[in-house]
Amino acid sequence: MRDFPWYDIADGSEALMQGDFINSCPVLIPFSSIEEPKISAEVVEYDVVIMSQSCDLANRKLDLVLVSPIWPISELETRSDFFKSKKGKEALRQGNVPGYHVLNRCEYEGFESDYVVVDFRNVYGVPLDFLIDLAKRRGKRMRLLPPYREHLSQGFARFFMRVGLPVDISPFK
Amino acid sequence: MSSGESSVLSNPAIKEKNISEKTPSKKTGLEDEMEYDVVVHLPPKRCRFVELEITSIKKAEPKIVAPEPI
Repeated sequence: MRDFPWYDIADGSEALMQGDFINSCPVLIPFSSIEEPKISAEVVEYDVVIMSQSCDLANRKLDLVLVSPIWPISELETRSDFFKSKKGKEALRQGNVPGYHVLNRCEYEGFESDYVVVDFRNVYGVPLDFLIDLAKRRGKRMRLLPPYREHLSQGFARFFMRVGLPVDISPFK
Repeated sequence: MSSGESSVLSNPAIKEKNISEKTPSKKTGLEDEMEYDVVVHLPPKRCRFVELEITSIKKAEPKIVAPEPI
């Protein structure tokens, strides 16, 4: 069977693509009230994966890049008994936990990582030019490869398109 | 459903009922098909407070992206 690697390593100056990992990406969170002429805010940093389509990025068809925070699976294990359990991790692997998507371990030297969980519930829009500059400054980065990249995108689509019915059909007996 | 409520919020009572009726049957593999509505709050890696000076406030304008020819 052919080898289908999950990841590649991209240079900092390479064009951004869907599935690129950017470490410590700052996001500005303004406080609820804005009192001119100043605005108080928090800058929070996340490791993120780019969710926007590569062709939109390449053709500059957007000003804001959609990014999702990513976490080592251990972060979820320490905060949730569900994810600590084998059942929870298995549900995650099978794509049965809406809002979360698990990616494989990375074994590239210098980029070794455990399983990574993508959080679809807390996406951010980051200005494209800012992200290009940040990626250059961060240097080499992990890049998720096809078909895992498309699988990630599909996972987000499945999460986003959910519809909850106010009155569901009762289960069949 | 109130107007401010998300359309993806399911009725908890219905959800609970669905899960409890699906759960026991390990042999049928139904458990593998179940969805788990779990949310974990994950704080950011780093967080700091900033104050910014507002240089301008203006009404946003639409940014039109020409559609690709079919």
